[in-house]
Amino acid sequence: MRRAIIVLLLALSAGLAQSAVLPRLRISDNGRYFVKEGGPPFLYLGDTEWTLLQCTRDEVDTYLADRAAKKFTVVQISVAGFDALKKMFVDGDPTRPNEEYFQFLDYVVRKAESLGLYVALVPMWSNDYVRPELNVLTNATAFSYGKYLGNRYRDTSVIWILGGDWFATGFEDIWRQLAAGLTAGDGGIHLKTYHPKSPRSSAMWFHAEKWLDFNMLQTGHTTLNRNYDLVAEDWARVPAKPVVDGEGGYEGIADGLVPELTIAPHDVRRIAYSAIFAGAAGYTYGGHGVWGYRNPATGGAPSPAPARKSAAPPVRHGPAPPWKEALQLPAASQMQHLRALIESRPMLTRIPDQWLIANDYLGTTERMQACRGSDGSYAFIYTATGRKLKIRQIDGPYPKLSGKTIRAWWYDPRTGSATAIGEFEKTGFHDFTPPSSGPGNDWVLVLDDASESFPAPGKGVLSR
Amino acid sequence: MNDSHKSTVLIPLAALLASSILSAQAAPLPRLRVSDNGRYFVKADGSPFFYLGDTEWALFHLTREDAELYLKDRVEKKFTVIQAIATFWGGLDRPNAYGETVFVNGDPAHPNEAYFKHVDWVVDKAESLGLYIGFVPIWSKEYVQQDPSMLLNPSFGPTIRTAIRTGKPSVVDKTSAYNYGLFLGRRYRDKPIIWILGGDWFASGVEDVWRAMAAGLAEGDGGTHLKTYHPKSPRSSAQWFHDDAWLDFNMLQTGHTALNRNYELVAADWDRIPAKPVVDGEGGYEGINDAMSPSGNVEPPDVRRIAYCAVFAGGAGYTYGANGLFGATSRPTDRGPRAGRSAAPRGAGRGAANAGAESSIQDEGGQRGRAPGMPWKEAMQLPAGRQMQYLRALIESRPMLTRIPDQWLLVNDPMGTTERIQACRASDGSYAFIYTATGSKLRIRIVDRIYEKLSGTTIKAYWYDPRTGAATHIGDFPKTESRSFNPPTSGRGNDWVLVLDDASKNFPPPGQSGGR
Repeated sequence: MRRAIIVLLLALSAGLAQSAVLPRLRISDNGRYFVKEGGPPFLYLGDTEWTLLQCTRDEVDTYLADRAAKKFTVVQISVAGFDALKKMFVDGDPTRPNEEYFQFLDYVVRKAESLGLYVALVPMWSNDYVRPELNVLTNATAFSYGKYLGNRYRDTSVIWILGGDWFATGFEDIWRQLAAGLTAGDGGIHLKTYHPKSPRSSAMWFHAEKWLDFNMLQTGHTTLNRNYDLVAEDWARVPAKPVVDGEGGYEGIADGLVPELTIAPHDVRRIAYSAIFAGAAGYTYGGHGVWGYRNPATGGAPSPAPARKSAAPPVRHGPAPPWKEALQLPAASQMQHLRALIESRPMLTRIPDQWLIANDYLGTTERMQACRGSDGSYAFIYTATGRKLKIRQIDGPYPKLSGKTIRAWWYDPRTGSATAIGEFEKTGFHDFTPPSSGPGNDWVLVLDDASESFPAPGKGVLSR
Repeated sequence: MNDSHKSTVLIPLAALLASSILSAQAAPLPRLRVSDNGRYFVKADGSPFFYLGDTEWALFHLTREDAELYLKDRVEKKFTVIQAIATFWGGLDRPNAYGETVFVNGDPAHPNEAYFKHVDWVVDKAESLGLYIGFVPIWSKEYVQQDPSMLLNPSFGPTIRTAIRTGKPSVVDKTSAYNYGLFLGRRYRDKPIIWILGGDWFASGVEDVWRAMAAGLAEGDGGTHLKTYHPKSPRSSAQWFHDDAWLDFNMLQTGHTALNRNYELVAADWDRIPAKPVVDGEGGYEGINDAMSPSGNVEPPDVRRIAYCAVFAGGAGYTYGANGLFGATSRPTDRGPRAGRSAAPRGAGRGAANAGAESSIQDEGGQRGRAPGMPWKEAMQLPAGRQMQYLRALIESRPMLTRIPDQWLLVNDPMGTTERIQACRASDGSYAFIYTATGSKLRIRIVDRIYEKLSGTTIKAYWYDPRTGAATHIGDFPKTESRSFNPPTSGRGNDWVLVLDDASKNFPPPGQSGGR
């Protein structure tokens, strides 16, 4: 009887009378990656639709089904999406949430869960709403709003992303209060991070703080994106925390630094593989035309509005394709091959190691990025332009790869197909020439300790 | 000083100075310590010290005349530290120029007084000229072997013939390392010494031998001299000893190749906690053969780039080295192959002047061939050896202790190796230095959203020429979010440093004295 009452109370207080359908996420014991409750590793492969709460229910269904089919694992949503402040709160008062608005968020979260997607929620987009001069949240209202959200979504599969494209400098306490409120509401069971202005990391303000479970980067909407540098900086921090590039270059967006360029699919792949191989626990993709669909300022459609037939006039990010087309941009379908590759080898022992590459690993558009199992059981080396790779397999007395025989493969980031190169005896250095080269001809060299008998790269999930 | 007294006072003063230098009676050089922020070196009075090393591992195997010639040349070229080994390569039975060996019967428990008397003379001579000695007590690669399996490793075997010959994996154990350290520490307690443990090798498995030697040195010299460890390339002393209290600063060896990527290793050490200074103690020697590089040799542009990258990435110094000079001795028997550039066949040693020691320099994975060096007196005059002073002059012309690496000053791609762009600035934004190895157009982020990378409202910009030390004023302009700069020339060998100052600081032109 008493238990029944407690359950009932919990259900009422949570506002959602359903239990979570997805396992909880936590940080791996080595502090580097995510694992699901029970142990299997989890790759944070995000998609971005900050304005999803301004979409119609049909659009939400279409979007989430599409992203689940493309093997994303997380969708990033802004709770206070474009122009939503008045709808979120009664009279704009953050202590009086509008039940109707949050019921729609409940729907989105549950729908995503049912499709296997975690929802990363930005409670209050900093760039629009949380700056001292805007005075939307104070320390006190941040706590109460956080507690409300934490409580409401305690038993769902959410990840909290504080911040939102801005600097915390000077008002760090508002975020600390929001974090404390979320923890007070959900018991601290959901992971928390902070989304900063580009190019930087949440670590700049919050690395040492206990509530920050992992670092999030924003790394730059440009072909000159150097997220590998930022990931490496965070990897070196103590204590170790996972790092996710939560916003790299959106596919199809105008280059923020180089006039007349847009981010091509191969730029997106390079940025994603560089993030992960540099040591990131995840990467968040974004497609231009999807990420800010309901915000006309970003080339999207105003809300409410019928589905658009053509692109809105370009604002500052360049013209975007119509939403349904934007969902099908090529790199969106290619991100799953990165996930498949990572999941086909032991994920939790992976370490970045640029010293695998004996030749110049270059930067930005020609980048090469390397990682391996810390036990030497495998290595991945990405080349953005199919450059010849000189691989250091033994470094003085320290073998970088275990075993005596190396099994090599080319893995194609465009298709996810693997081609066996062959097996050979381990030597100090070995040269590999990719099947093709030039812009867009990116390849991953996979080197296995043959005695491990791993499946072909991209095939099968190792769950370790 | 009053003008009217100038003529009468100056002459005796100059004479006094000269005599004190010549008789090695000058006041001792100030002790060095680590700056309060843990990043750089300062002298006893707190003024900054730039570690600009030259490499003459065989310094103690030169005659007095040759040593003096060498040291005077290096002072003139503004080096501040000379790196030398007490136990030179080629076996402990290899005598110095006067026929003396370092130990009696190769036993480190019995240092040879006559040998160390000569070392004393060289150290005193260096001090009288204003030079510190980066002193390697015992060269690890040849004499402190750890893992017997390395004797069987084909890529290491030839380098460790002493171990093979003696059948002992190491010349010193913990006890003898401590005692030898104690001997050296006591003997050089009041001398301008920086202790460099290790020597081109891995410490794995013999960490405690080095710890014992460090303890002996500290016991002997009262802990007054800085200590570090010189590792195998490409790595840092931090791999084994960063958390050890005796390790005052980290030393890198970064690779004798134009593909050297020392900036990565410096950055990795910069990130470590606690903060300790880091010095690239062995980059690419000028003129050394490099099968991996486009030119086949490490050339002056490569040397400059490696040096500027080490320092701009956050290094507290850099050690130059010249092929033909880095292991030059005065022994007549070593002289034969030194006759000319082409005298030594491939495989006969990296520098003919290093003959007899060739097997001490190991081939990395069989990648590299050997090039003959030129005679050491010629090698002393290689161009980059003279150009290193402009790096020192540049660094010393701005506040040194607040300098931080900052690649985010660059909007464009910093590239890598031969085309590298490397940037640093003062943490208070008073100045920035941006090095481009090939004269690439630079787009500089001056204001990063709400954060100003440079202070003030007006920026004064200069081009600084690493080949000549000349500075050219570009102009003064109001601070904007970003700005592009086109170097005067571009292409290989056309390296430039862009210097940006907060104009209100009124710094002297870069490379001229007046900094802090």
